[in-house]
Amino acid sequence: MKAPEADALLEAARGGDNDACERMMEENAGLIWSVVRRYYGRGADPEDLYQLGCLGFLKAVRGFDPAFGCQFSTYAVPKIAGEIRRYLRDDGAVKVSRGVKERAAAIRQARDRLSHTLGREPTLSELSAETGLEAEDIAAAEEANLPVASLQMEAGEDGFTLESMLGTDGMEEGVVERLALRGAIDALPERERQVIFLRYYKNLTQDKTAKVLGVSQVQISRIERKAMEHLRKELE
Amino acid sequence: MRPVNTATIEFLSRSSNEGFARTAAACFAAQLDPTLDEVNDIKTAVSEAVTNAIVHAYPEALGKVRLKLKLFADGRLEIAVQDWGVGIADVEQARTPLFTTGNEERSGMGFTIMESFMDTLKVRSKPGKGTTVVMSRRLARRLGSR
Repeated sequence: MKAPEADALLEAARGGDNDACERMMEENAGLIWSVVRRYYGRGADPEDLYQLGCLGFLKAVRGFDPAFGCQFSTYAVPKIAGEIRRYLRDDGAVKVSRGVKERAAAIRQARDRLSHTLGREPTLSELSAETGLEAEDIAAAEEANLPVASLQMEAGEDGFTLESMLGTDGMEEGVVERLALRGAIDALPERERQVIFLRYYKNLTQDKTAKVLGVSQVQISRIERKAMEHLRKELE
Repeated sequence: MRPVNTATIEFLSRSSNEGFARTAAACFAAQLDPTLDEVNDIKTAVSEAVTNAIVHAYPEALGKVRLKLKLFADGRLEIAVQDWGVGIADVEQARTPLFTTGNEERSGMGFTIMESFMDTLKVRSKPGKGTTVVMSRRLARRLGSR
């Protein structure tokens, strides 16, 4: 399908034309499948996964705005993957780590609840009383602190992820793509490179990052936004 | 002031031991009844110090890394990470952000991160003899509830 034709189809689909939506899904079946197949072999039914992929694709169609300045497929890939990942996470399809995931979730929830009622961070003994877990087990739990930023996490209002800027999605994909990302990060101005490193590779909060670099959190937020813009331009 | 509790763990400078070391430190610190925030800060600081030893101390082979943990009555946790490796020629320079002799994933911010997450940080080193990083942080809510 030629570009202007594809654009018109996308416009129609965004406008709510159901036939156009259907046609878009047919035209992009390959794209959807290329994302979906990466999640095979995790205990979820391939049919279900494909349906979810289509759902994510439709969300992408609805949410896309040509003013984003990128290809529709760049925007669509993380939306498709995100739909599937959400399902896999909530369904516990990866059965081996279900106990670990549940425990981490329990700790997170207890922490939120107690922070609210106490008006401060709860201590391990308070979390232990709340969850029934041993203090040491809570201290040892690695997942109880969700990574605050990751390649998959969205940054900015238009929903881009660092991964989507690679034009690919998922850790299985190419050394080449990761090198491209790495190269783009290395090319950033020093401050921005430091912030990306601390936020995305060390998984620090903006608050902690501010502390390490000796600036305010507001500045970190600003620097991070600029860094993302630079990366996006660099990797397009 | 003498510590009320101590623990010493020695392990090989394998990167697979980093997770174990930071978890062990966090579990030990649990006795001071910290918040999860403090636990994560400790894990991060220990991770940096241990990773430094693993990556830099023994370039040619595997060596020993010792993690020493101490709890004091005033609620202070002291963490020492020691190696007997190549050492650091210029500690001051090594502690400036972004200096690094390593490559790829290292950004040279290890010491800066440790400094930000702990109350105190001391680095002693002698080229050819080894390096000891000692850091401490005050945690206590209540001690001795166990």
